[in-house]
Amino acid sequence: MRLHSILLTNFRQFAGVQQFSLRSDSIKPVTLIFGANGAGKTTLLNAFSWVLYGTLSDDVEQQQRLVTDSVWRETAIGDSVDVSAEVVFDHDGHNYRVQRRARVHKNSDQQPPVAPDVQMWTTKADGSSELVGAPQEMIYTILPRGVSRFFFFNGERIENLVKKGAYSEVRQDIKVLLDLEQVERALVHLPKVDRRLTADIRKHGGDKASEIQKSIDDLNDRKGSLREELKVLESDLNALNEERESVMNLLRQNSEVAPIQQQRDTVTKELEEARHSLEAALSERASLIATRGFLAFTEQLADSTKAIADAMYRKGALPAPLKREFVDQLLEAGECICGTPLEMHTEPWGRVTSWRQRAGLQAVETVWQRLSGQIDPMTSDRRTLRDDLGQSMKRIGDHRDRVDRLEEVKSELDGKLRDSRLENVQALESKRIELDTRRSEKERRIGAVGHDLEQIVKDIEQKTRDRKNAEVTDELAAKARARSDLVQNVRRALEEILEIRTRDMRHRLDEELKSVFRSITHKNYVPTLSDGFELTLHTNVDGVQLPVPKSTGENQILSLSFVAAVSKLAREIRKERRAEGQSADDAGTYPIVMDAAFGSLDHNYQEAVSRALAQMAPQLVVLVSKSQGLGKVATELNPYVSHLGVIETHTCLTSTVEEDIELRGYSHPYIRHAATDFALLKEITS
Amino acid sequence: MARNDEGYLSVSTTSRTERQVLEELSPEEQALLKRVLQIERAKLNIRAYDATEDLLAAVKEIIL
Repeated sequence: MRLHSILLTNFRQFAGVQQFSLRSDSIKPVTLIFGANGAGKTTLLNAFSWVLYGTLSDDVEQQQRLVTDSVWRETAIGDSVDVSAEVVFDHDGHNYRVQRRARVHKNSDQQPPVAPDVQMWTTKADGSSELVGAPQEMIYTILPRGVSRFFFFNGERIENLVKKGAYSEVRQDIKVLLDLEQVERALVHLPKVDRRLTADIRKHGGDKASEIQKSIDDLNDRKGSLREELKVLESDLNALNEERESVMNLLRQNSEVAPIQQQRDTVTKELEEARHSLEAALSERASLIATRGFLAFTEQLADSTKAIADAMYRKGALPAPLKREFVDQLLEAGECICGTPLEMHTEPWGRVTSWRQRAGLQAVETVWQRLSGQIDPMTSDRRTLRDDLGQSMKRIGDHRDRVDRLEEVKSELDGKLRDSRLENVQALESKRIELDTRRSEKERRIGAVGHDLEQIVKDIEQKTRDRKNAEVTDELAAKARARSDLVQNVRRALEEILEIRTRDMRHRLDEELKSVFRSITHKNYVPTLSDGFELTLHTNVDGVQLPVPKSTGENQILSLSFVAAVSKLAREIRKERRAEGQSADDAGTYPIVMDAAFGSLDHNYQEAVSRALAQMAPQLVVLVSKSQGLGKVATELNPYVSHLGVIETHTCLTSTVEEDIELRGYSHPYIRHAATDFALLKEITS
Repeated sequence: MARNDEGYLSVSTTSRTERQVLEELSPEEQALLKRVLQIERAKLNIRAYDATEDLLAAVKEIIL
């Protein structure tokens, strides 16, 4: 696939009809297009994926706004407007034109979702065009959607290619590129062909041959079922492995945060205790105040009471000389102590009664005696109260300080744990054990099915040999037997070829990857492509291979190296003599279109990556900003550049400073003021 | 990994190569294998395509 041109019509920022030629050759394979931030570089990259697959990448916001905003604004309600993108390219000796187009009807200011149509034409050698019947399927064949991420990508996100799990998809997608898909399909179809051929042996082959053929058919049916079961089992096992890996990650994460978690548990417990102690101290103080608090206010009262009592004592009023109870006894007995009868309303009765008024109460005297005994100790009680209160306040203060400190510690630990996905370790362990058990069961079953399959294959071979020797008199059946033998032998050869190609592809990709990576990085890191197509990075420390924790930059370089390796291998394998016969000269050629190509790489890496890609990619379209593209990148790429372009930003924001870009000694508009926002895709032809 | 003068790759001396596999086939088998892959490759873009009829015809062309 070699790109010839791209044509955009009202596509996102690109108002009106805009075209850019991308045709390049092996000497100058690079197209370098500059654009400011927001100018439309990502849109241009996405235009390719939209044409080919009808999708925009996830990082494109407001995806339903396909029509240029200013064009949409100018369109009257009730009118329609066209949006389309078209790419012309050649592939395997054929020229293709793909157009994805939608006519969008305006009912409101909001753009509705659109369902664009895709059309594809192939141009023949005589110049005539022919519509391709199944355009989307043809595109998938030329460049499977999964594989397109190797060739049309955003440099800042390319490291996603090397993320865990990505390569199981890549392995599948890469089959077409590496000539494995047609072999796999043939292996699905050939048994059906054989079954059709052997129907004649069953019908006309005579007793012996018919019986053998029936056995072979039964064995083939059984083989088919077992293969299906094997596929399901392997898929289940993969799913279990992924689930186990995620459980293991959580367990690892838990073991990392376990000490913090433990510390937080201890602190939480201590904090709870400290809060209880504080509450106890507060209630102790409250009880102290409730029961003995009054003492604080008794100093003056006690002093004045004592002074009154002392004064009465000094006057002889206390203790009282005569008790009222004694007078009451005399009046009740009716006789004075002197023997005079005390009859009511007599003079002696009146005199004794008057004494009653002057006599003191026993109760008052008792109270006085008790009070006298209490007033003195109250002074020391007040002192004790003050001391107790002082101690209580100190305890409260200490507990408060402890609570404050523990709250700070807990809050700090909570912060450390906040980002961790904490799970119940016990539950995770149980899950892991359960997954291990299920994996073992699947593995056992896979082993058993594999063993059964081997046996069935042997049985089929034996039966086929028996069939060969069986007497067949019918000419039709004899021919069917010969044809079936032919198909069986070809199928066996294809099985072996598939195995050889798969092993060979991985091995060559691994070697190429190592070579490209070595040419870019200055670090002692060695990438490896595993049997499962997973990329790992190792370093050699005194003869010991240690895995390298990959940074974003290293992941980008690893991904770019893999892209370069896939690109090179896809071309190489089509040039080799293979069972399919000769391919077209340009077979296996794919362009690389990169936005923000040098992402977060430092200058040394930018230079090395530019050089590597320019030399390895058969066609390279690089979309960069001035800050990324001028300097070492431009210097490295310049000898290989066939087309130089600028996405000219037009903005209605008057506060934006207009800018130019200096390319090949001439100044070109880079940012310009305009009545509306739009972008112009301009080729620099100086 | 070495490439021989006919463009086949040998992954290692102990592994069999695609060429060895092909060489062990009879001329009829070689012809059928090539034809099978051509048919499958030509219709890779049609996932629903069932090659059985075309492959059957190819077999019958080789063994008349």
